[in-house]
Amino acid sequence: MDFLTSPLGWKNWLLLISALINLGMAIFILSRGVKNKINLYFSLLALSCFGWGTSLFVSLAFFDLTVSKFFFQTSYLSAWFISVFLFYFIFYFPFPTRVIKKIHRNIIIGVSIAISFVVYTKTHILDFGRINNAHEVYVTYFKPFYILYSLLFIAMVCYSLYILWSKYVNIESHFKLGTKLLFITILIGLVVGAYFDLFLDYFDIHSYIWVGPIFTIPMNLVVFYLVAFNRKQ
Amino acid sequence: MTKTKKKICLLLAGGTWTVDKAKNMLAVNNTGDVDLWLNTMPELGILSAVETEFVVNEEAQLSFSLWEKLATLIIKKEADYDGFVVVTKAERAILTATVLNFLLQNFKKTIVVTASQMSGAYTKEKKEIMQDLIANQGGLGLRSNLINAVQVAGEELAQVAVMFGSRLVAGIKAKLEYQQGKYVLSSVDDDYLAKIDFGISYKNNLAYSKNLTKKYQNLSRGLCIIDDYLQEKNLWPKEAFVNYQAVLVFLHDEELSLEQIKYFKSLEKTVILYHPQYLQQEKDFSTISSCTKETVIAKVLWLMANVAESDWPKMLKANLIDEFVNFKK
Repeated sequence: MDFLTSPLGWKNWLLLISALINLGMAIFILSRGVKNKINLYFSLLALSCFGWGTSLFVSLAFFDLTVSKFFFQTSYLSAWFISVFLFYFIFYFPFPTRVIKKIHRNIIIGVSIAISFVVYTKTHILDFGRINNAHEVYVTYFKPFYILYSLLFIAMVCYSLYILWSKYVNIESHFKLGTKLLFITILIGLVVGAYFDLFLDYFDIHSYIWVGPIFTIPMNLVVFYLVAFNRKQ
Repeated sequence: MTKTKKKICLLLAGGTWTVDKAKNMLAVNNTGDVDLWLNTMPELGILSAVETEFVVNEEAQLSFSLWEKLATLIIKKEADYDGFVVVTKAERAILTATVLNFLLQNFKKTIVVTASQMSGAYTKEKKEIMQDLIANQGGLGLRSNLINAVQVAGEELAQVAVMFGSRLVAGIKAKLEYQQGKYVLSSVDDDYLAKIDFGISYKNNLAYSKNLTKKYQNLSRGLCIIDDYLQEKNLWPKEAFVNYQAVLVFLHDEELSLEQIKYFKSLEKTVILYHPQYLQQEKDFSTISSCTKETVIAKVLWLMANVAESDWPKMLKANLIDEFVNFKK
């Protein structure tokens, strides 16, 4: 259990806690009814966040390079699914205001399948290792794919936020507060996640990759607040 | 395979005030207003295949014929739609829901009643309240109420329900209060069919009633409703009751005074005593309790028009549509 007691351990702890919070919220929301698309897509979003946090945790905490690399690659796949399920969740929350065309659905599925394969190849990571055998990794990316992936990810999240903002502007009464709080927390998650886990990574600064998953917690807190402190209005 | 949208009929009977993007007030006062009004809520068309039926305008008074017309329309269009949403004035919503509950007992299509926070024919004197609502909650609430109601109408509900704000309540349990400039819906026994928190969360196992559907289209006009508190000091002359077949008395105490017993006996009419929770049995009068005020009005109006008078005492005691409730303490 060295990873928990070592100087870097608390970062792993935070990663683990944030992942477990996401898992707990996924189960909690899913238990409210899978038929409801809002519940379904939020649970999938929270599960993707759990996958992101867990895969980063494992890749940082385990010394076996093969295991570590596999989970590091998986974290990119999980992050992509965060953007996909965030889009679907926002699309249905609190109710759909537009229609997703079949071609758009197919594009999302196609890109997701492509990313699922490519992240595990040399097109994504050229070289992976540990610095001084410690809880820090060095990664050499194939930059064109990294840029394309980052742009796709940011585009998906920004478009989702745009939909949420336009809903907030037009929405009435009790939905207003929930939409606003979700917008703020998702925006914070995007900015922090994109900065520490995409931007700094691009410039070979990998010391802060544990920060992004932690900022998925505020979004969960907002959802928990909406469910648990629901008032008559 | 494309999922077919549920077909929902919107019955417009007042309570249609809403605002467009420019915050201009819109309401449906004739069939010509419907398209413009509906255009302010494009989400409805995404959620369901919505069709509208104009029933009455904002000026229309609450009347028996309105309820009978609504029931007749729903019966007539039953086969064409998966569910019905009745839009009416907020202050009428619960009574409308309970009356429809008795007219369309154990109906196998979902009926949801909803409303705007504001309604009526005159807008000038309500301008300030309207502006407050727009500033505080982005509109008059109808749009979100209707969006929720249309979704709910696609589900299976055993009874006519009221969708308002963040709650869906069976009409027979609903309570609407005016608090801090707006209406708030709650349930008299804290039992909700759905809550709007993170989307719509339905209560488990919602389904149509397994009991036989009974449809009625008539309500009695012969009921006089009096409040014993108002009557206490100034008893009405007997002549005031000439045109009525029965008298429904809302009691504030659990039993009548001797003077009241004597007075009600002298009317020579069927007298029904109502208290929401407790009631002493009176051998000369029928009694009903453990239900809401709106429920007892609706039940008696239905009873008088559709059941032989000799059966009234028995029917008043019968739990026809699960109308008896345990009030929250």
